[in-house]
Amino acid sequence: MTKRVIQKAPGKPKSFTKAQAVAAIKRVVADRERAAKQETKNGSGRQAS
Amino acid sequence: MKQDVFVNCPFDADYDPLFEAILFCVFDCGFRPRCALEAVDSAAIRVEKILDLIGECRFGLHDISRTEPNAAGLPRFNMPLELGMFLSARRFGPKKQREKVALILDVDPYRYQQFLSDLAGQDIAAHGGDPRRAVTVVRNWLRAQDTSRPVPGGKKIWERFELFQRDRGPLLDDLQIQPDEVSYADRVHLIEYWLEFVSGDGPSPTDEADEAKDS
Repeated sequence: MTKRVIQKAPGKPKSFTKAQAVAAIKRVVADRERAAKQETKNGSGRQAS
Repeated sequence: MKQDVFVNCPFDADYDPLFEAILFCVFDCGFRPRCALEAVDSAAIRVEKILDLIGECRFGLHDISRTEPNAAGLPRFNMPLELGMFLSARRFGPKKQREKVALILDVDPYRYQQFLSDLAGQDIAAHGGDPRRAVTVVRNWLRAQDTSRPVPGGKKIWERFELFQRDRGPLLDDLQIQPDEVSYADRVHLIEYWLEFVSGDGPSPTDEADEAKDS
């Protein structure tokens, strides 16, 4: 499958650098995924008991 | 210019959910949104800057749904004016400008006949004021413009958009930006970086150059 391309956003100045934004995205996505896993785990636990 | 989409729409709070969904959809389809908000901090005369933007964009999304009078009893004319500029560029411009393609959006597909009947014959689609429907309409239109590469379906884009919306608040917290402090540049860059991250793309060759400019 052909790789998808995300175009570069226009406009400056922005309030953050790309490195700061990507670091924040990594943290937020990881937190969300962790919470979702925990929720699934808790749900399975309740079903099992 | 090849992938640039001029987004001509209202910038008020009521329209914001549609605006955010359209910006996200344009990026997710592999195109780049451009709009008059890029001109806000520019020293250039606004109309000149808008004309420059129109000249740089092959595609144009024009939402004429905001016809209601404001508090002063007057309607907003900016969108029809910018649509007229876009159609004029296509009609009178050089060869490159004549390749322009426009999609006109409204709440329903035939309402324009009551206030902008000269638009008959143009490509007009309805979003019904619904961001989800707007995503599907914009996605289908962009898909038809470039069939050479993969474009996700409207349902997939909407799912990703909902996820982005969920992450947006915590992201702004993390970056210590209040929601009312988010500039247009902040908004489009957050969408770009988030999509790039969830699409699993590594740093692009131009990232380092961007970083150098940022610092």
